[in-house]
Amino acid sequence: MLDGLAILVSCGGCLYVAWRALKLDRTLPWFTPLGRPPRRPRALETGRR
Amino acid sequence: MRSLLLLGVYLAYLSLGAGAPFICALGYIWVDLFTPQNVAYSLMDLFPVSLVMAVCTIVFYVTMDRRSPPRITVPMVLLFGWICWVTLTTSWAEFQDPAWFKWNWAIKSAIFAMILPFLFRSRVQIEAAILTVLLAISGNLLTFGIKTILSGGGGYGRQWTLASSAAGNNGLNESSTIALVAAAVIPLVLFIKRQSLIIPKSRYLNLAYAGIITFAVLTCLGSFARAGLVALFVLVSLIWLRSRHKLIMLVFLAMVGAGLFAVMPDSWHERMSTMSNPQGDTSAATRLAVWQWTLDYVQQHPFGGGFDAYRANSFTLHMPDGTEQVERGRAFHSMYFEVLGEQGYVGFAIFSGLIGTFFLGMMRVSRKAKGIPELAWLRDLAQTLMTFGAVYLAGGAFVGISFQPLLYYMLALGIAVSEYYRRCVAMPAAVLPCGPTTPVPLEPSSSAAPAAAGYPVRRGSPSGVWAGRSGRPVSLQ
Repeated sequence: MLDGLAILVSCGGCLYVAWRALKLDRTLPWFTPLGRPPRRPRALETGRR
Repeated sequence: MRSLLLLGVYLAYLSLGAGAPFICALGYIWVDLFTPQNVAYSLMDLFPVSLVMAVCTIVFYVTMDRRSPPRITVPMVLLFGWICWVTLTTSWAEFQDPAWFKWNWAIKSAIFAMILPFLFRSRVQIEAAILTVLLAISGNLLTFGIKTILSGGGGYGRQWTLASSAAGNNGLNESSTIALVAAAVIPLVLFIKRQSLIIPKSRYLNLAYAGIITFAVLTCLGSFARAGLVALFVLVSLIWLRSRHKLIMLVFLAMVGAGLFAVMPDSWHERMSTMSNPQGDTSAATRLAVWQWTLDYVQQHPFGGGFDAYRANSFTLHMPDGTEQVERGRAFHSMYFEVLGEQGYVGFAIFSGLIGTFFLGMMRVSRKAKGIPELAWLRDLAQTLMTFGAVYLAGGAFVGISFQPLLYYMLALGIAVSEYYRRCVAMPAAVLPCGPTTPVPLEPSSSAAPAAAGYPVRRGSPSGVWAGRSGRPVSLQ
C-alpha cells in the first residue's frame, strides 16, 4: 500500500509537471532579452540640422 | 493495476511529447530514474522502454522543434570526448563481456546528456526537467523514509525502494547511492520552493516541500550509509555558508542535527563511528585496499583497464584479531578511483574537465546574472546546481557512481543554464513602436507585457518568435 501511494504521488506529480510545462511553455516567452537596444542614427533622434 | 498505471503514464508522456518534444525528454528522465520496467510487475518489460522513449524524443525534436539550438561549447566537446574515450577503453577492456554489458547502460546517460540541452531551452523547460528528476526520485524517498520510521531507525542493505525486487543491488536500490542522491536533491527542492513557475505557490505545498526534505534526510540516515552522512554534512555546510543569518541558521541546524542523532539507534552510531577508525572495520579497510590497488593498477595500465577492471584485484587484509582475509574482485567504492582504474589517466583528465567546466560555467552565470532582476531565478539555479554538484561529488568519493544518470543530468542542466544566459544577452531589447527604446522586462507574470506595451506578438506562434518594430515577425533563430 505504501509503495502504491509512493507510485501514485511520484507519477502523478511527474504527469502534472509535464502537462503544466506544456501549457506554460506555449504561453510564456522563452527568453528574457537583456541586450542593448540598437542605436539609431543621430539625425533621426534629434530632428535638428 | 500497478503495471497498467505505469504503462498509462508512459503512453501519456509519448502522447504529450508528440505536441512538444521536450515532454518526451521529460519522459526519458522519468524512465531513467523511476525505472518503471523494474517497478511494474509486467507489461513494461515487454519492450525496450528507454530506447523507445529516446528514439521518440529525437524523432520529434528533429521533425517538429529545432528552435534555438545550443552552441557547441567546451562542456559538449568534453562530453563527446568522454563518450568516445569510454567506448575506446571498452574495446581493450580486461574483462570484455562485463565491460560491454556496463557500456550498454552507462553510455546512454552520457549520450542523452549531450542531447538534453537541445530540448531544454526555456525557463519552463529547464524547470520541468528539474521537477521531473525530483519527482521521479521522490517516490523512493517516500517509501524509504516511512519504512525508516516504522522500523525504528533503518539498517544497512535494506532494499526499501520501489524497484527493489527486480533491480537487485543497483542504481537507487544500493544503500549508499540512495543516501547520496537523497542528500543531493534537497537543494533542488529548496530551489523549486523559491522559484517555481510550474508549481503554483501555496502554504500547503510548503508542507509538501518540507515533507520531501524530511523523507530525504530520513533516507540518508536510515540507509546507514557513511557516504550519505558525508553528503549530508557537506550539504548542511553549504546551506549554512549561503544563508544570510548565519548565527540563527547555525543554531537551527545544530538543534535539528542533535535531535536526529539522539533518535537514531545504537547500531547507526556504531557504524558511523567506524569512519574515525577505518582499519577497524572490514568494509572501510577493504575500500582503502582497493584504492591502493587502483593506484598501482593504473601505473601499469595508464589508459585504464576498461569497465569492471576491479575484477582483477586481489589482496590480503590483516584483520584486527590477527587473522588474514583474502579479498578478490572488490568494487572501487569511489567514483574517482572507478574512473581512474577503468578509464586511465586520459579518462580521469576528461572527467575532471567535465566537472571543472561545469563549476566554472555555473560560477560565471552566477556572477554575470548578479543584479539583473529578470535573471534572479537563473542565478539561484546556477548556485543550486553548484550545491547539488558539490554534495554529489563529495559523497561520490565513497560510492562508485561515475556513470549513474544523475551526474549527467547535472552536466546537461549546467549547459542548458549557460546557454539560456547566452541567449538572453544575445537578444536585442524589445523595441516599443513609439518613444525611446526601452528593454521590456519579460517576466512570466507579465506575459501580456509585450502586447500591453504596444509590442505586437504574432498570435498562435511558438513564443520563440517576436514581432519586430515594423510588425513583421523577427525570428530569434
